[in-house]
Amino acid sequence: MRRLPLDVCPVRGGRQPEQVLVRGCWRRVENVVDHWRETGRWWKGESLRDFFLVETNRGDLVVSKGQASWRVERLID
Amino acid sequence: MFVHLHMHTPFSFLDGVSPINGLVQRAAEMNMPVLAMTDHNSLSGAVQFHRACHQAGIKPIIGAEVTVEGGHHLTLLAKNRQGYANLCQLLTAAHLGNERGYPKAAERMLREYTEDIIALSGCWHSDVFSLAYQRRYQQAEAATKKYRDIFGQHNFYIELQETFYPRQHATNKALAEIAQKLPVPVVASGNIHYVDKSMFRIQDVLTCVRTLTTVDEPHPQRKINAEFYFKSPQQMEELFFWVPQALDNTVQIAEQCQDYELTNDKYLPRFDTSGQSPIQLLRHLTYKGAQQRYKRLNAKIKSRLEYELGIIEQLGFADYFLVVWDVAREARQRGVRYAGRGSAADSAVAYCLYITDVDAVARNLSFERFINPERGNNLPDIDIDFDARYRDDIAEYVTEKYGEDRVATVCTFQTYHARGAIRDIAKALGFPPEEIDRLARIMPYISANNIDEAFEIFPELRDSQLPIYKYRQLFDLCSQAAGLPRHIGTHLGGVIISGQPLNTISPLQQAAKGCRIIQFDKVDVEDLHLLKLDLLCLRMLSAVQDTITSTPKQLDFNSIPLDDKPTYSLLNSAETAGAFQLESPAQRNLQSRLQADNIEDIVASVALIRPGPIKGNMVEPFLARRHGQEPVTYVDPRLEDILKDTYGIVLFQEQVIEIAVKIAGFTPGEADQLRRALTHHRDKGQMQAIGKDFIRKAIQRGCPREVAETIFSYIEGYAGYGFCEAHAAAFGDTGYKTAYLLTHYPAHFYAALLSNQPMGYFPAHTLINEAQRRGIKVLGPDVNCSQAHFTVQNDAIRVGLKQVKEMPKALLDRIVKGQPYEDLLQFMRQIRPPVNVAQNLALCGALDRFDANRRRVLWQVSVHRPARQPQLNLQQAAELANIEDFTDQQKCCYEWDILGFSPSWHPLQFVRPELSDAGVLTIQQVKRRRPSGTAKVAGLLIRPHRPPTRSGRTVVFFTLEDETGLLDVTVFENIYEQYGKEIFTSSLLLVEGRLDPRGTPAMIAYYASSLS
Repeated sequence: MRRLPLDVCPVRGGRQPEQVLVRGCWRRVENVVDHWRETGRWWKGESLRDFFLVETNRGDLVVSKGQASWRVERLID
Repeated sequence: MFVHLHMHTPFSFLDGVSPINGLVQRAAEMNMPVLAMTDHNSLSGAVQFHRACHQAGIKPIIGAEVTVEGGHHLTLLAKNRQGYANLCQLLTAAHLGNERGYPKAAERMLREYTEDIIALSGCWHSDVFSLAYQRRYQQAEAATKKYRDIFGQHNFYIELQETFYPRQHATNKALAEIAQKLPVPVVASGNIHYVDKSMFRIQDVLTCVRTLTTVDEPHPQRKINAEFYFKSPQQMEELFFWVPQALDNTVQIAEQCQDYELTNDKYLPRFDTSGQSPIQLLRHLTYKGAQQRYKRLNAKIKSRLEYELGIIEQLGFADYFLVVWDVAREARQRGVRYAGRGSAADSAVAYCLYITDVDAVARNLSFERFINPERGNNLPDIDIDFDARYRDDIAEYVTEKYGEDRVATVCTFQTYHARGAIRDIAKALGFPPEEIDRLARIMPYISANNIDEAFEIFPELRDSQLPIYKYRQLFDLCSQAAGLPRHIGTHLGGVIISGQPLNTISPLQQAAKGCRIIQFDKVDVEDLHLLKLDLLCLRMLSAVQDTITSTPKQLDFNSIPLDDKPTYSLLNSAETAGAFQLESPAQRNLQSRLQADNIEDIVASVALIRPGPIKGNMVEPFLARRHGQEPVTYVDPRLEDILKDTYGIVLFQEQVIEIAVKIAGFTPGEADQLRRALTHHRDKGQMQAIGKDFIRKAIQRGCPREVAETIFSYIEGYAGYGFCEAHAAAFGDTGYKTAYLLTHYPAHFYAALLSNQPMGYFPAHTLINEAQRRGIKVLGPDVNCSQAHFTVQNDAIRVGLKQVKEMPKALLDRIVKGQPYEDLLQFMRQIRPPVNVAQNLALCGALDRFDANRRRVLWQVSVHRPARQPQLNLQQAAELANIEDFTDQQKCCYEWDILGFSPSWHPLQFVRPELSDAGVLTIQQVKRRRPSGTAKVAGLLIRPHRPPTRSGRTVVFFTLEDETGLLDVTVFENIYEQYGKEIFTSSLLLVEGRLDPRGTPAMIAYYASSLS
């Protein structure tokens, strides 16, 4: 499991992720395996994020959605 | 439809963070007909929850989240009163069968107390869920079967929660499959910890407090999100759409649970009367005591006793009186000094049973203030003070007599105020300890939700230059924690005696001090109609006992004459530091102006210096009328009978009741409600409602409106806390008698007071100073002459060795037993004190008799250690001979550090020359300068405080102490605004002001500066 730089990858989707951009390629989300919610380090100003463990056509990923942005959290090799 | 069956209240300490009323209100807003509470191993919230639900028209289900073997959680709900009793017994076994603070219900306990209990498999921390989460499905299935076997096919449910945790949903699906396979029903739950998501932060921080971590440290008990809020049925339906039977089952469970009363008349204990009826025995004992107390029983006494006995019989309180009589009798037989206090002294029966020493007949006290026939079966309060050293022995006697299973101590709940909240929450947020200490120390005793405002109001905070921008988040969290209970504690005096095993009424648990406590506080206990005796510690009674046993002449405290002129002279001189209830600045000032010459004056003065009479502006009129400087008048002639003994002033709660009955025709029950409204600081709206009622009824009874309004203004002015006459009489009597001891046996009394510290208004150093000022020599500690406590030796007070810091008791006993010691070598060889204690003994002068050079003794006990190495080498001998002693100032500092005072020097002595050069007078010089003028004075600052005032403006009072005496200082608001920081943060203060010509020597300050 590798952690990616936070600003790398946009994600397309509404309430759930549909496509994730990894290293210039869009991966299609085939299945949302898990969904959880974390409040983060609220005492440092972080806000709530929804996390998704997803299966894509080219491997598994953890992506998260905050108030305004999607983020890829982990790439699971 | 959905019902919440898993909800934590604040009695899941440092976990549930929404007040019970808020949770119930949210359920009512969502039209939920039923609601359950399930705190961690506790039913402490049950009475409040029960009451709040009934007020909201909701059926309460009482349950608990019980910790079982392996630390796993299990949710249990009581179906009915029997189930509740079983839950109490299970929790009691879980608490008492394990280490304190770590309750755990073993499987055999679960099997024993399953009747009328419904069990849900529990939360994330349950064994069923955690096994399924670990994909150990077979073990999860086995655990499920075990619980089904314990609780029965229809009483065990697999609990499903959807709180957006990783892999939670998948685990829930696996659990649903297990449930279908076995089969076991499933049930949905919310695991509520707070009403709104916004309270997640305080819940998280308090979890850190509970787990002794900071927010930056991960801990498995911290929740990762804000999903533990009170979800609506619609939200729950959305979350559990895939398993609708889990929602339906909540309703089915709710239907199985009955609404039942927690109270029961059988809770009252029965006193063993050996075949007689309780009232017969009570009557017999009352009349026997009456013969001893009164000698001749006249019609008035008989009629009063019959009246009281009639009400006691009617309300079924005879057993209660017999229980208390028995406790008092036992104390007398053991020679333990005690005194009944409070409204019990309104009862002639209590007087005849020797429960109290106030003659209710002679004082014409109102029995209804003690027992109100209209209060139904609400048990009256009987409070007894005992010599503090033996109070626990008496409590043990009660336990032995009624059985360990029927006696326990009432609990208390320590709730968050500003100071405690700052300490806990700042620590959890990772603030450095020194910063936390600085912030907490400066905080006045205020609610935790007023801290921001306090920085605007209190000068000591406003001028503190603390960077409050750094504390915004901290203060915000503190305000959310305001009033939440932090942990369960032990009530100082409240002992419950029950007619049936207590573990069927409340869970019992072990307290830190070793006794058993129930999980309800005194308010809940009253609601449950449990019999509570307040067996309180009063150190003053210990001091009285010590004085009496140490004086050469055997004194009978109870027979001290109440007309002793020297005692009244002392009271009038206001030099009463140490006298019970008569030593505060306000009391001393009152005494000097009152010039009391009889015990009734003392009783009145005890009642006058209370928030109620002070805010009601009753002190000045009372004094003026007492001295004939103002006529005693009554707006209604009917008031004369009620108020003539107090010069037309409403001083006692009994008078309020009598006025309400006589003028407005209130029934005793209505009048008692009025008294409760006055004494419990009810809101203005309630007072206005009672006022309207009073005025309306008074007018109906022929009282002109203006007169009725004036009379009610007397009552209203009394609002706040005031004494009942019976209590004032009991305290006044003890106060006067301690003043007698102070007058005639000052050395013995001061020694006794010092031995029983902490107690009273003044700290030990002030009492030492006062004793010295009165010409009593105070001798320092001495390993050859000192006993454990302070003693009187040749009319001088000898400091006890117990006063020495860090002195272990066993060592102390050994030192006293081995006296006398020939020299330091023998002392060190024989006693072998630890280095720290030996050093403290050297530094406080307790080894002076061997060598007056304390630095040399210190060197010997810490470096040389003569016990180990009796012979010095030449170099050591030379060094020893040349050691220079400490200066007097250094010795004084060490004595303060080790003893808490210096018997040899007052700290002000060392700066007196400089102070004199600066025009600062001693307190003695100030007193000579009275009655007018201005002065500068410096001293140790004692007890700065801001009592309530009639105007609502802040007035600060404190006492200054220098080597020549005490001076009371008053600071009005405008000066406090300028110098509040100095007053509340200094230990040594310079004050300039004008001398107050009234009463005791006092000063009204216009300048203050710290000399610390």
